[in-house]
Amino acid sequence: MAVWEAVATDEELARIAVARPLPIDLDALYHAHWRYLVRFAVLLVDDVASAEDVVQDAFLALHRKAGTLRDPDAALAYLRTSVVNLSRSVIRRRQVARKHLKVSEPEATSGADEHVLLRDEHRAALDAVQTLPRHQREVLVLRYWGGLSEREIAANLGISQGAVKSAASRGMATLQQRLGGVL
Amino acid sequence: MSDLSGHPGHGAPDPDRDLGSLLGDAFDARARTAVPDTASAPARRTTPSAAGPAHRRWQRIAAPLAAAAAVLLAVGAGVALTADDEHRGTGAAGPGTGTTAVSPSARGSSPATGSASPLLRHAAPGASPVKVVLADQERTVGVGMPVVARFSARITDARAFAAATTVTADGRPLDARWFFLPSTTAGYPMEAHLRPEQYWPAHATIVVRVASAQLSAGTGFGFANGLTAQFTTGAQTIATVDNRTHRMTVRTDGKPVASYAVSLGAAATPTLAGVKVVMAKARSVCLHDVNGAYNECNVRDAQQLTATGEYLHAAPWNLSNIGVRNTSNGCTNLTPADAAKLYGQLEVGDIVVYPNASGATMRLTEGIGDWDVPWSTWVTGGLLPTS
Repeated sequence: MAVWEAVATDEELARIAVARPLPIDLDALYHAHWRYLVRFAVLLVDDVASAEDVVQDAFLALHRKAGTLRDPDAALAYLRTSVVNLSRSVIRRRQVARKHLKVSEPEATSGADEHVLLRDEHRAALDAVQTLPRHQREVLVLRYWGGLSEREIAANLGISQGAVKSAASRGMATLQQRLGGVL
Repeated sequence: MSDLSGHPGHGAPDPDRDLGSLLGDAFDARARTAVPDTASAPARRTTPSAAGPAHRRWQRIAAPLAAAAAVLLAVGAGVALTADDEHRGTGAAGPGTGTTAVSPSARGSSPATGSASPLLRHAAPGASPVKVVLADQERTVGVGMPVVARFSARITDARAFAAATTVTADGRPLDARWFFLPSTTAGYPMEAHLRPEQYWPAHATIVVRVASAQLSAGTGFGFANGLTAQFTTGAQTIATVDNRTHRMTVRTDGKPVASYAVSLGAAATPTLAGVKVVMAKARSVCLHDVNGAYNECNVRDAQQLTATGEYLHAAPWNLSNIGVRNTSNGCTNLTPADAAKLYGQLEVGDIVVYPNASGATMRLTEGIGDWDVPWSTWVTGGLLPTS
């Protein structure tokens, strides 16, 4: 399912805005879901600034697609999928940058504030989740934070329910190994 | 920063702990820390950004004018300047909630600047509204806990905010100053910390009022609201850790009440020097090295002192070195019995001083490093002049 299309030029966007009023109130959606979507993106990219950029881009993509989406629920699902895809790009770019730059970027690590305010067992769990393969991390966030069903997760990620199930169980097994047990 | 030991049965190890609910809690905590409930969305971008994401990020930091333009757009969305006060700290609606007028006597009588000050400039009509919120704080804290305010835009002038601040301890004026620095909380690019020159007075009720509504926050910016914070301090509890004798002395209201043997950081992993503040407590935690060198769980009676991972905690594996030599990864090791006693003696906000530890002096953002900033530097205001 292609959710990321070529960037429209400013003229095209302006033309669309005038010619066809959007059936979905983008501003209302934005204000209603901004916090949820940025939180979701933070859990995937582990960095607030990138998360905010991702959500801006997700709404831009929705803007271009909005003519074909008829209801707000479909729009939210579309936004969630956009956030997943855009987060993947952020992580890929970060990995490429880290390979080629000697100096680590200042935004790559979580801010001191965030480290302070988290319990250590939470920090340990989050760090372990960050080391999981991308698919497993996405599934676990959608399941344990998003509270989505297997079917909904499959739809959001464009994979089968079986793939969701196995990603979840592999991810949990790895986490159990890393986090379980005493000294 | 709250006491983390409130869960029933939290003391014993729990191998059957539901990993799923731990994940849910961890995700939720991370998400809410990064994007507080009070965060509001910046203007929605309706055209693609000209530069790539990496460049955009730098623009964020280096181009406050761009942020100002984005906030200006928000004005068009119907956000008006109001005089609603933001109240925090008492757990219930504070006194005088929702006043829409600020009396002239409340403004400008800050002990820092004297009578009605020319610094209390009003925002120009059409200025972009800046929301200011208080970071969460417990009702009662130790004497080392600064008050933290966060700003929804990168304001450019803090003088009106500072001049509009009044601080009292048990009703008597107290000289406390704001220090501005960047923030990493979503929706709030800037924050400010408030503290007096010495630790807060003990056994006192502190009230902070900032009558900033409608005052200027710099050209094109105005504060949308004011602040009131109220909290009480307990005893003045200060633990001093001597690197030479490997002993910690705990003094409450000046009187020594306990002395414990400790082991600090080894030469390769020294403990930071200076004044630290207890940030969080947990009966049982996983400690890990930031570089992934170790990860130990079931560490008991842990009290966090820095964001770089220094804690007070029980170290039953290190009994032969406690009180004798420094062998830890930077943490302050205690015997299990002493760690448990100390856990009962310190609360969040209490002071732990390392006058002669081998590491560098702790910096402001390495934890609650506010007391390690010299007062002469603090009063200049940091990122923005406050007078």
